[in-house]
Amino acid sequence: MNEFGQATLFWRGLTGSVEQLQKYNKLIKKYDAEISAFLEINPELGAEISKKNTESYAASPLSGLPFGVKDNIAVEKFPLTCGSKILDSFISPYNATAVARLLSAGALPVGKVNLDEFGMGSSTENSAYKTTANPWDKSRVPGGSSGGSAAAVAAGLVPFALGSDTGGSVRQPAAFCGTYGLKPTYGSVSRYGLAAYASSLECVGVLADSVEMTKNVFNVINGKDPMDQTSSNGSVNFTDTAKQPYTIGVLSNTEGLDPAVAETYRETSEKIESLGWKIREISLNTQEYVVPAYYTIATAEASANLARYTGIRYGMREKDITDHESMVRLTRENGFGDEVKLRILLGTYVLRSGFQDQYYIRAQKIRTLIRNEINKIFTDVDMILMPVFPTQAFSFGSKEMTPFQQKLADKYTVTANLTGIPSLSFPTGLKNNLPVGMQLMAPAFSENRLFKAAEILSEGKQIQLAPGAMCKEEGE
Amino acid sequence: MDIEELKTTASLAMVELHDDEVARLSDSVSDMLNYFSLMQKADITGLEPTTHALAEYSTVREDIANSNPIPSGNLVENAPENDGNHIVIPNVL
Amino acid sequence: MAMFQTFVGLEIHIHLLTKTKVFCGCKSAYGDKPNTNICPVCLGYPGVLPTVNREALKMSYMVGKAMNCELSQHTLFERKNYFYPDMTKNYQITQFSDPVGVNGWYEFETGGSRKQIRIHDIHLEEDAGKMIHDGNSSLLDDNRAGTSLLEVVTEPDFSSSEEAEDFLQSFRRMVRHLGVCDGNMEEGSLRCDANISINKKGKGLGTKVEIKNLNSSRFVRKALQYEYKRQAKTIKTGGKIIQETRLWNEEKQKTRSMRTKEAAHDYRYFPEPDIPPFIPDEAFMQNVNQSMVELPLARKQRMIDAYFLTEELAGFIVEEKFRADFFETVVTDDVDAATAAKWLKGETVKQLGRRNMELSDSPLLAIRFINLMKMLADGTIHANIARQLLELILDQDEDPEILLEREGLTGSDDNAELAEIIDLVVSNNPEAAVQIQEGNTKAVGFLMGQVMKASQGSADPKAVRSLLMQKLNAK
Repeated sequence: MNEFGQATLFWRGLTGSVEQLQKYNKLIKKYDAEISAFLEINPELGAEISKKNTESYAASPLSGLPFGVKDNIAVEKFPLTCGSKILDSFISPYNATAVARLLSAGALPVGKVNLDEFGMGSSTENSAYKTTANPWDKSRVPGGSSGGSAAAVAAGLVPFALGSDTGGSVRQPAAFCGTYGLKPTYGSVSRYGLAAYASSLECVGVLADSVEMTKNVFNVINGKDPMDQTSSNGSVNFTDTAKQPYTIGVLSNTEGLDPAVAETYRETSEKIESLGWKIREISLNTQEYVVPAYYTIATAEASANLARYTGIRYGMREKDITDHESMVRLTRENGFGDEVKLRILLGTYVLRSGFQDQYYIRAQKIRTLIRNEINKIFTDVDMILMPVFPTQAFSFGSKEMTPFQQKLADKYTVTANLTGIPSLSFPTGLKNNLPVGMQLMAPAFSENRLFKAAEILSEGKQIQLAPGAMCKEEGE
Repeated sequence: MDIEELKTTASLAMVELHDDEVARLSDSVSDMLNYFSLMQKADITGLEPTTHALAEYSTVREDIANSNPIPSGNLVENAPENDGNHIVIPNVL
Repeated sequence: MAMFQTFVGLEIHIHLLTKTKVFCGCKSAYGDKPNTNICPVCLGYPGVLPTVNREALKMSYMVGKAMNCELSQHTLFERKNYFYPDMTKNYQITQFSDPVGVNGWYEFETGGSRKQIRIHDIHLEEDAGKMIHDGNSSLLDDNRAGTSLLEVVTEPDFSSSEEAEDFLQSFRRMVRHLGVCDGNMEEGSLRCDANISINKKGKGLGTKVEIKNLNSSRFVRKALQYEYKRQAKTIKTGGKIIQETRLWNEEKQKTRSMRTKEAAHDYRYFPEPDIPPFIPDEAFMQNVNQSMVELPLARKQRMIDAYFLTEELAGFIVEEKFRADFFETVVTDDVDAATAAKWLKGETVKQLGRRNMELSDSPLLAIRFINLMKMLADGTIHANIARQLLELILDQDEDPEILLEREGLTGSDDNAELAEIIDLVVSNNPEAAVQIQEGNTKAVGFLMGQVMKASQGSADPKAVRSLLMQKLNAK
């Protein structure tokens, strides 16, 4: 039996019976104590929900596999805190479509994993509840905002986890923790059940321990959903016209990258060439605008999407206040963290009458400019190789990586969100005993091309798990 | 951004800022807005704004009631204050 | 008399008769138990998304067509951002930059002639929930949150309060004919805000005042009349009109300033990212066109031209689409139009009203009405019998021919029986008989009444009179 077969057996052995689930519950709690990836652990509840929804239990490659769900994605009967105090004690009455499809395929959600509050951040330090550590070095961040998802996979607690990627929030933690991280094409995976931050930019994404696992999960969750009118069957219906040897676009300018990352970028290019693929140098003339355009649009949409959190119909509410407006103001003041408040204020401002033209509308036009440039580049290349983040995982409370610096560092990831194209972050090995990830971007709906390329690059192997990973320790 | 502008914006967003927060947030907001001003350099002549990236046009829903609705009582119960039939808040008038 | 020119515009909201809400699959209904037609979507739960209702779009395009608008080929939804407890998401999904219809016009009857006013736009949006205020609390009922609302905005083209009222009545009739709204202002399925400005003749628009809380077309007229007077007085005494929103108080019969923070709402409109633009394709527009009906004004004219009905009768016939359809079914089957119309307007309305019935859900089926009219026309029955049969049809849900037999109403045409009754009445009232013979026509009426009473109203008055006079050898 190959590596994947063995892994599948291992995972199924943790979820097949009530006793096994109870054992798994204890195991997760024991190993998670080291990194605090999970906000809520309940494999038994996951099995209960899974049983209710499973259609074809045995047949699917995902059947019996446990998975983590980022806590801004709804799982029925599980909490949905979004890493925020304002949703303290809120239990979701419904399943996100992506979750429901995984349930139908026989997979089990075992718990909710940590995130930056409402998906806003690059380190998971902005969670109101816990601080998640990078399994490779516990003094360092796992990345964000899907830090819990990446850490859980890297620590061998689950073979895959759902995350969300609005500006890099699946790819960057995947790169920091050494896992695969897929940001699918916008609309290919339903957003129904993903607590909205930036509606026109975000996707439900996958973090997993191998290309095969990423692909299997994507195949189950993608496809048009009547509950999401921006969703599409584009990926389902896509026929790939690109053939090997692929032509890969590579940035001519890699200023500002840490030496380890710069070196990895160069090495990855060389590896690609050694496969017989072609390298073509590209330059992105719109590069300097991508981050400001991203944050203008994202914060604008966020300011509206987060307006619903008032404590009126659900979640946390400030008590003993006799005036309804004060109640709402105070609930939001005490319920939201700093980063969330900052983005709400920014977003409200850039939409204000008198400012909308120079900020929001201008950013949306720049978005068109960026789309045009990327579309043009894809007429020359099949995929684009980019770094994910200028540095490897940084330390907690890092002085070089202030919240502002972290935003600037989104320059390599936001393009895929602005244009809607898919991107796969893949591990390349260790430098300084820490993972370095790279990403491949491809035209809209061509995830299969990404999987093919990554499969070849990875030589079909699973990821290298962090030291002390649960499935290594507890497996054979 | 000056303090007054920030307060107006905070008021529009229904977030009540404490005094110590105002100064701190005002700096962060100003940093970001300065950064946003980079966008002024871009040449956007003749471009339409991208309002919907890759979305399929004209998707609509048929006028048929939900076949399997979540029991409405459960939803009402989620309100921090409710009387079983209504969501209760401090008097609005 | 008016030294000022009046400019009135209206903003009308109608609840569309879709089965489900505009952005979710909850039932759309009035009067259900609070918070029973709700789901995570219309409640604005974390993670939910709106899904636009095709039927709502279709009805919106129908109204746009009926109001001669330029229909959008690429209609867009937008978020209107403001906080209020009845707004579950604290933004309303509405339309702004590219609504369903713009630059339309609408013709209606007012002051004995026809007037055309311009339509600024019509757009589709969602309604808010309801709030009841109770002591220290407010209670929220979200059944209405997310239901389909179509907003029609006119230009300030009405020059009087009467015009505004007439327009509203015409508009209400039109949307009921189209089947897109039931036009019930008491239940709130048709709501109207008005705006009015006045200015010296020829000086253009004045300062606009908005008026809310107008729950009937009558209130609209009265409120506008009051406002005109208030504004005219203010200007004449050297004051200035403040641009504001005022509420109509029906009890006090005056408008009152709202004095709330209505000032400068910055709604920060931006395109709704969760709903892609709607591009009506050929199939959709065909569906819209097929669902259109002949509009009331045009149909009224046709009633006059084709069937030679009077203005009044024609207006009555087209008041409700069902009635007009009923009427045309009837006259198509060779029934005299004027007769049918008079019978519908007179006796039928009266008898339906007494029984609290609507024509559309009464036992008076078109075929029954046709047969009744035909029996009347060929002399099988006369008017009084017809009236009785009408009541019996409504009470017994039965065909007139059968009722005629069953109730033995044919007997009253038998002159022999009638002659007996007349003999009896004359012999019981000798003084009246003498008076008639002496030329006193008043007594005729009295005796006839007695005969009718004795025959339980089933006698034919013409026959009674003629037999009576014969008997008394009078003229």
